[in-house]
Amino acid sequence: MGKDVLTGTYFLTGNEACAAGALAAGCRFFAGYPITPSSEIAERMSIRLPQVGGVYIQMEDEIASMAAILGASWAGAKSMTATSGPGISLMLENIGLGVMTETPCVVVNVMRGGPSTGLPTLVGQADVMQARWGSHGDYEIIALSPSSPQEAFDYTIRAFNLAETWRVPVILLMDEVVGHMRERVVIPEKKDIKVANRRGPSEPPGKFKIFKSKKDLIPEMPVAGQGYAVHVTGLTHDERGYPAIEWEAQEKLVSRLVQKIRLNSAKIASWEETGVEGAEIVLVSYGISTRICRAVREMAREKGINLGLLRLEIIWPFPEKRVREMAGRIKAFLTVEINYGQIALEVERCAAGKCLTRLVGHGGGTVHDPKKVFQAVEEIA
Amino acid sequence: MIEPQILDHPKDLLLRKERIPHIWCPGCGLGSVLSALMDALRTSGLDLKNVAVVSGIGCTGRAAGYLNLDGFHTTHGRAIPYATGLKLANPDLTVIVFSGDGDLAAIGGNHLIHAARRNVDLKVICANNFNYGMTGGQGGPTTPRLARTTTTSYGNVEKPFNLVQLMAACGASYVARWTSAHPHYMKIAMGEMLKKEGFSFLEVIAPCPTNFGRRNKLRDIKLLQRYLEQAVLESQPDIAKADIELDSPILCGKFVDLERTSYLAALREAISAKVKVYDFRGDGRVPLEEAPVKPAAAKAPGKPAEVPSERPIIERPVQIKLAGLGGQGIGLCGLIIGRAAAIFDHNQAVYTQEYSPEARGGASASSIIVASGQIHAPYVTEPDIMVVMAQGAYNKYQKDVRPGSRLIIDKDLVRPKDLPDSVRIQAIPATRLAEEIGQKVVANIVILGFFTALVPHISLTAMQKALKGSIPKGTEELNLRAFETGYDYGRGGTSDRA
Repeated sequence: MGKDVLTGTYFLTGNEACAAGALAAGCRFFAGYPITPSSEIAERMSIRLPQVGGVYIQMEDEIASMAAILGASWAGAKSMTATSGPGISLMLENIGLGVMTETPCVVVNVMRGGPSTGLPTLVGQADVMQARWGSHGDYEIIALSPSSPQEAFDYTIRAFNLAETWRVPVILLMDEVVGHMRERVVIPEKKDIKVANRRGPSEPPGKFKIFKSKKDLIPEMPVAGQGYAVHVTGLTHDERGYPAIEWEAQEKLVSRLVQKIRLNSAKIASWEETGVEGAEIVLVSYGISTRICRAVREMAREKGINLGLLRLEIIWPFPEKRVREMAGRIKAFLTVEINYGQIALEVERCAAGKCLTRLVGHGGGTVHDPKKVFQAVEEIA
Repeated sequence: MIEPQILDHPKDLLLRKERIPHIWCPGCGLGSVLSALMDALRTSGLDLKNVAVVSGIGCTGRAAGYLNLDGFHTTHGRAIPYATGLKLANPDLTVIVFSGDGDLAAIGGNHLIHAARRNVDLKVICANNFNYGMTGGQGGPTTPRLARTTTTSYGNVEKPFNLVQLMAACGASYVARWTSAHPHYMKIAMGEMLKKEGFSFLEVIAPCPTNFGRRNKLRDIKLLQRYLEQAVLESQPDIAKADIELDSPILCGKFVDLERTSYLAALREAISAKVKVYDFRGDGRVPLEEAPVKPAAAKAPGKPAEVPSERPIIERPVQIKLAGLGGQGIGLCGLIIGRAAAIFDHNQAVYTQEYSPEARGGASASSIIVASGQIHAPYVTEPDIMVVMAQGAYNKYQKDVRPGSRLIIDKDLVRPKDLPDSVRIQAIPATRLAEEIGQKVVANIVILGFFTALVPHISLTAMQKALKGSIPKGTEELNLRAFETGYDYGRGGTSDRA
């Protein structure tokens, strides 16, 4: 069998690096439907998965793709799909099924400009709120945002590890530019890649309740064919997995689905701070816009302005506590994102009036012009 | 005294008894269908641990949850793709889809036809009660013409699906129809399906007295009685006569039973011919033997290269834009420059491409930013160096040529005009030289060699290494000659303002 980790130094697109990361994380099932700008992930998976004993299948649409990766996950495979704007909209119902049935899987959304067909080949960052609450019902999810092909590789592995650990569909929100640009990508030795796997059942079939959670609010997960006669339903269910159409069961289940992410957000949330100490103004950003903010910081340094940067590696859960703390001692947050204000709302909410909050946004199609962001910095400096 | 013993009913082993009573109405046909399936499973000889049942939404959708097997109650219409994932990720599973007509044929209709077309190894049991029972008896894609439902109060005007014909047309390996009044035949059909490779489909006409019967003057048991009377059992039924009208006969029997290559078999065959070892186990539980790595890995270098002594130090990011017509190999040129800088010179390089909707022929550009430090913004906005290989591309990207920058062109193909004086033009008859070497197609590599001679930001060694790793096998000699020709031309003194 072929190798799943092709150790070496490469000059890869983010999409290619994402596929390489998936394989390194142990992904062995991919179902998808072609859509720009994510198709290269599917193309790469169609070549690579058979080499490592996995399965690639092109489904009839994105709805089917999402359903298929849930099925594959319950058969024991680490599974993934990749899509963009219109496709992710179609996947949302089954992402909700994945949340409700605590099915580990990774959904890559290579974001393009929207709404609707929008800008198929150009960048946008406007699916951030959709990633959080796009499916109906109340839930919490995990979403990551890489800013380079190297991070596309690294974060895809992180995405699988998070999905397996917290038993939730994890969304990799990749920007079109990151998906299509090439940079140096170093793929380490297999032994140096940390891979997490779901916790299997610790008891034999019989009394074992498949949705009874442990202290960390995560149930152990048996899969089909292991003799546990699992009962998996999108209906509100009890610890056996049986439908329970009553408010008490709803309260118990949905609060756990929400709390397993919220109460553990200190363990899950991940961000990077640069020059935040002593800064009066802090830029908040993620994905490709982070890189623009780094350029803006260099411009600010030349002008003697002390500018901090808070970069979200993981967007959801959002580093609420940290933003609250910072708000008390800075003059302003400036959120830089390619939309008309999504994360900016989170920043505003957490800042709770303790400092200024501003948005530098635009409709998509290109990245921010660092000069324009700097102008906005100067206006409040 | 002998204590009375309470024995389990043989079928009880297959039921989640704690979930009984079920939700189905008196007179409903679904219990008979489920019962027939339990009989078929019991006598199938299958290891029931490896049997999974997937349902969609609706009255029939509850079936998965009553069976003491791995059961998946999914979203409306999506049982088939969910089941496809289960089956392909663990081919040892026998995967049964048990759902209703609305779920499988309306909202899930697309999945139904594609699964049959692919001949995926699924056993699909479709209980057809001609309406949406759970939501209150609305009309659907199988409702017979003139039938009354809560949404067809004046009689249904739509022609219903003939499901068996549809499935046969899509390529299913096995297609049969029975009514729930035929438990014995149902069980036989299900037994055959459990053994069948590929996609098999059973339609069971099942009464819904509460909703469908009540509105069509067939209350309670009368509906089942009608199905029993209307059923026409044939050993070789003609699928062309399988339409169902409100008062028509219901043609039953086995319509299709063919040996067709299943999806899994086809995949196994196609891929095992190309890849040394192929196993569908997706869960990694089965250790597999190692086979040679495909040369794909050799395309890019396997190990980080040594830092070359002549590594160029680039203080400020240098923006390079290459433009030409689709098919001229502009993208490859950019890729080689990027690889040279990022991998062999140990500098940073960001490569982006501009896309036009045409796949071939339109003006296109690829851009590279190189620097020794971090590169932030990914796009080339103010090129320091532009390489242009065609007039059409020049016309499109002329606006990007800025004062003080360097413009490298194919002298025969590009006539620059309206440029600031400070632009330094360096020209080479790249296409002509390529033709002299033997192939016009390497003009891009000629110009790459020329570029290397003129531009200090990428070392010659790095460029040569990147070139070797980026071109197809068998073309090395031609490409290296093209590169050298361009390089020598550049070293021999370049003609500014050609």
